[in-house]
Amino acid sequence: MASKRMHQLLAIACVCALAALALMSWQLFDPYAFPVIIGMSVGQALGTASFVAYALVVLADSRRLRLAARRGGYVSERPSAPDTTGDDATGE
Amino acid sequence: MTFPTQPLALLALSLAALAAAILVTYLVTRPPLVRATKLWLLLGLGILPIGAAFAGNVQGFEATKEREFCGSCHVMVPHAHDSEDLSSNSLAARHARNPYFGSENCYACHADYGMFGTLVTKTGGMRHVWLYVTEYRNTPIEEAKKTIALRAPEKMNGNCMQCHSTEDALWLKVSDHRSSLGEVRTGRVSCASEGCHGLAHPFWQGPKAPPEQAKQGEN
Repeated sequence: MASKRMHQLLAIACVCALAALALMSWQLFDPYAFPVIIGMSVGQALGTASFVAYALVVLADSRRLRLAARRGGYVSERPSAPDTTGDDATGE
Repeated sequence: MTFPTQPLALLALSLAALAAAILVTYLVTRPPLVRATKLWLLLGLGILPIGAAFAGNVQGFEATKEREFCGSCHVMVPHAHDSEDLSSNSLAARHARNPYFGSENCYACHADYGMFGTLVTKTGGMRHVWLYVTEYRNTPIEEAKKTIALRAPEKMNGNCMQCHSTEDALWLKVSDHRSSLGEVRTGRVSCASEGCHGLAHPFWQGPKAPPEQAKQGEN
């Protein structure tokens, strides 16, 4: 997975997680039927999705590092910076 | 909207605030994806939100037992108001004045008991939400009073018997109790009927209203 896409996915995950946290907090301030149901359904779904996205990014990044190490080159974690314009240093 | 004071709610809010701080910091600074960033994001996207969700869910489940939760659907407002009415003599209001029921009196009388009682009750609650959204959302209260009835009225005596066991000698001293013991235990005679202890809610139609439901109750 290209590092730019990784960072995009992480940014989306962060926004989803913030929305999930907002919904889960809403039910605590307003403990009535719809806030509670939405917090426990939509909130949980968004939170789970954001964590899955994070796990995917971490797995993809680990795979990138492992493949690069297997090729024998020095692998820096730096190429995964978000401002890279294209693919990461290993070209995957 | 009120600020929650329950310890679990405060814990959930604290964890959510910490997670939000990490996530906003990430979104603003966009650091490179090094090990430290991954660990911070594990906290912000995983550990802290999971903790917040867990604490929030437990608090949410507790909130679903409260009368104000049940009364948040407009068709239940008359029942909730009756329960809160200190001058009401309905069964619901009398039980609500009992500190063991208190603000959870709807749940105490309508929850299913038994090993999977909570699960069954929550599943039934989701059916209530579905029916509310699809059928009763725009139903005027006056019409709702006439049309909303218990799905399984024959089961209600079982809930009364969680406290009033029907085994107690004092209870059995009452001749009406003795004479209708079998019917009460099987739900054929409702404790909350006009001839016995009165309707649980003043607006409830009771088993006499829709004949098809009375028939269902016999099955």
